[in-house]
Amino acid sequence: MDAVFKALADPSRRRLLDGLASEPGATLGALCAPLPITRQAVSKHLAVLESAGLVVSRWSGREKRHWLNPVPIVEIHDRWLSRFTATRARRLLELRRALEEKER
Amino acid sequence: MSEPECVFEIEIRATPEAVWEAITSPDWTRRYFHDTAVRSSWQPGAKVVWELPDGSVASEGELLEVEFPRRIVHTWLFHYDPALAREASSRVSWEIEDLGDRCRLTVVHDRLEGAPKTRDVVRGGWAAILAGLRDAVTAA
Repeated sequence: MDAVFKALADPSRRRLLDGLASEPGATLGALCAPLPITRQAVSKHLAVLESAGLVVSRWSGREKRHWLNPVPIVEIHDRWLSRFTATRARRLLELRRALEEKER
Repeated sequence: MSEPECVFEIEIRATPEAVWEAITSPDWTRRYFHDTAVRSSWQPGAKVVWELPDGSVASEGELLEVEFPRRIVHTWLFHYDPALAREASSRVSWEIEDLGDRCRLTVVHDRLEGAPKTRDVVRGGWAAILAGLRDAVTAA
């Protein structure tokens, strides 16, 4: 679990996970495009995410593709939240979203 | 060939045979797979169903590949919800890799092009099922 938190502590790595959530199976090139860092840096960040189990990569022909693996995040969730408290917390988040949308 | 849509991976401190047993036996699936009992002869071409406690079918598929204790590939169609049951069937691949003191279980759910509602369900669903499978196997 330490590896997961260390991997998530970096904003660029969280951006990479955002990218993979919206584009499952993205290549390194596609992941680099929206980030203001070098391809080499992205590649290093991906390696950290992969060793934490947050990213799974596979070769598809000559291209390496990447997927967000949600299992470690579910484990963090399950460690501290029962199904009941998760539902209550989610309702509060939904309430906040609804109220903030109304404000705008 | 279509690209894999959803990939899930978990490491389990158990033998590949124990993980295989947890995937293919109803006594095991009841512990982590939404109370369903899996039913199949596990022969290629045979049907596989996940049965709810009331005997109704939650989801079913046809076995495309069965390679003990490494690989199972089957089609996938939900039945518990009519909106999901109307969608095209998709494909699920289970891969068990022996890492010595543990193994790595990977589930790939793909061919989801004709099943957008199914994709939304399985995106979150498999992660919880695999974490439950791992806990069931390691607690035994």
